[in-house]
Amino acid sequence: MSFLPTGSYREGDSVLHRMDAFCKLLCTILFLAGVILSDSFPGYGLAAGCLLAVTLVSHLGPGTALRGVKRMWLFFCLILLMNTAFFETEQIWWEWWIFRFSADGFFQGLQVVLRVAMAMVLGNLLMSTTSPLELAGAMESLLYPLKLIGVPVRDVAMILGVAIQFIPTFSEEAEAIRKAQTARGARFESRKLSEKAKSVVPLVVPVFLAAFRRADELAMAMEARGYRRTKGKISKRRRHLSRRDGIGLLLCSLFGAAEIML
Amino acid sequence: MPIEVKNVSCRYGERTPLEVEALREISFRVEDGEFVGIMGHTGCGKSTLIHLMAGLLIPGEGRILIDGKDINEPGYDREELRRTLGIVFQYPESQLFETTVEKDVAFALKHLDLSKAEKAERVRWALEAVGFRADSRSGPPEIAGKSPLALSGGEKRRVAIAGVLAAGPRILIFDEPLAGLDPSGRLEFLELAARLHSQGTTILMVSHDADALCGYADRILVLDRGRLCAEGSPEEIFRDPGRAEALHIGAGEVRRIAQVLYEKGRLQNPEITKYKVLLDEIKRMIKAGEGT
Repeated sequence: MSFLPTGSYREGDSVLHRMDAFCKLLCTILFLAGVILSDSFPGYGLAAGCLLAVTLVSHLGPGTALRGVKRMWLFFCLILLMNTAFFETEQIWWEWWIFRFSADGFFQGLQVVLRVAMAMVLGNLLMSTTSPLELAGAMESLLYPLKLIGVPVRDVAMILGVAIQFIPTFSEEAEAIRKAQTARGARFESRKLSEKAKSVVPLVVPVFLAAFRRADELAMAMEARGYRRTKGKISKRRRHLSRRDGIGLLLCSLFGAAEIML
Repeated sequence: MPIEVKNVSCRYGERTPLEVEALREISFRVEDGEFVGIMGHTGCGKSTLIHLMAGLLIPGEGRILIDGKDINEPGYDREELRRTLGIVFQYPESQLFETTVEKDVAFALKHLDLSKAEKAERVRWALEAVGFRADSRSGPPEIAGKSPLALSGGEKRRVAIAGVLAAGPRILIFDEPLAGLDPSGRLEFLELAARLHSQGTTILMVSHDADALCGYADRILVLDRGRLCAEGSPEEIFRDPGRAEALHIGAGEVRRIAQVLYEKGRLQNPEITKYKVLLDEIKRMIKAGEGT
């Protein structure tokens, strides 16, 4: 199972796992707003500290929380370099050709990197502690107000849910097809870029075909079991919010407010 | 090209909570030109085993030798392995992707050092082997120009098998080749396997179909929860139908009918596993019945 995609659900029993998905989503949005709004280093320090605390509470361990961030190191370096070299400012460290290296640019770049990295960790924490189906349900609740202007929220949520549910199936299918084509002599293992590019076709075409076939079959099966677009009255599941959901929301709001002040 | 599997163990998801032991200390040997059946309950490690043999997975422990060479040794020529060993996956029709049948079958030949004419000849031979006959002596069968996606399910499967045969492997592995075939498709496939076997190809076939394997295989390996728990001729494996049931492989219709006839005193020996032998016995019985 080496192909588990980044940010996928890990079972667990922490407070974060047991929180209501909708509240967790709201908290994530509040936290994200805080991270984006903060623009001073004490602010970033506070955000990093809070993230660390949340990670500890989630029992996930730093490896899981930082998944994806490590893979982006090149992107981060590039951002840092671009900002350092091209930031418009008076105080310049060193000038060469079109590059104007400056301390202000470096700090500007560092801010961008910190924000993106923290947003990624936050997303990771949400995805790792919430099952995809719960997440789809939470999205539905979140988008509920859009119903008033005629957006078919239920259908959108359904589509999201189905799409999320099929990710493991498709990755398994892709793995099976990859093996089959390798056995027939496809060179996925080759390091040459031109061969690598060519070897994509025998993988992508069958995977797409399988996806379309599955979509057809699923649509047929849903119809056969009486699914149709819901109109008018909707029986809405009630969310049972507990104290930890309230505390979570409160803490995240406080954090957001603190970030605005700092 | 004997295949030797030596003390092979394999785990999935190592060092995670999802760790599963798929195979444990498996050892066996397959001689040149043998027809070996592999049976076992769903999830017993059959697919893992054949993926290991095809070099698509690397065993955690143990070695796999083909023709005396360890296929997981760093210096081993993987391309050579792909040429000598062909594997037909479960539902192989899902791997078709080219615009024409001809191109799809020729995919396995892409990296081989062959002239155009030789490649065309190989494709034609492979398509004929799976039962697509050409009308004229020279041209390829009519199907060669069609899109593989426009074919029926049975045709797709045959084209996919042709795609593996075209490379001319001397060892062929089939993973559940009978799943989803209609009765005539099943018989056609088994005849094809028998024909390839008679031409000297080593065949390994994973199947749940005890009657099919009994009719064609020289030897059967039975896996149960990742271990090799029985190995022998079809007669030996199904000597005790109760034991076969306990291993979740079923005894097969032929063996069960033979058992019933034996218990009724109509057969001297219940150890019949081949359909044709049973049929002859029954015909003999009917004749004897008419005689009296």
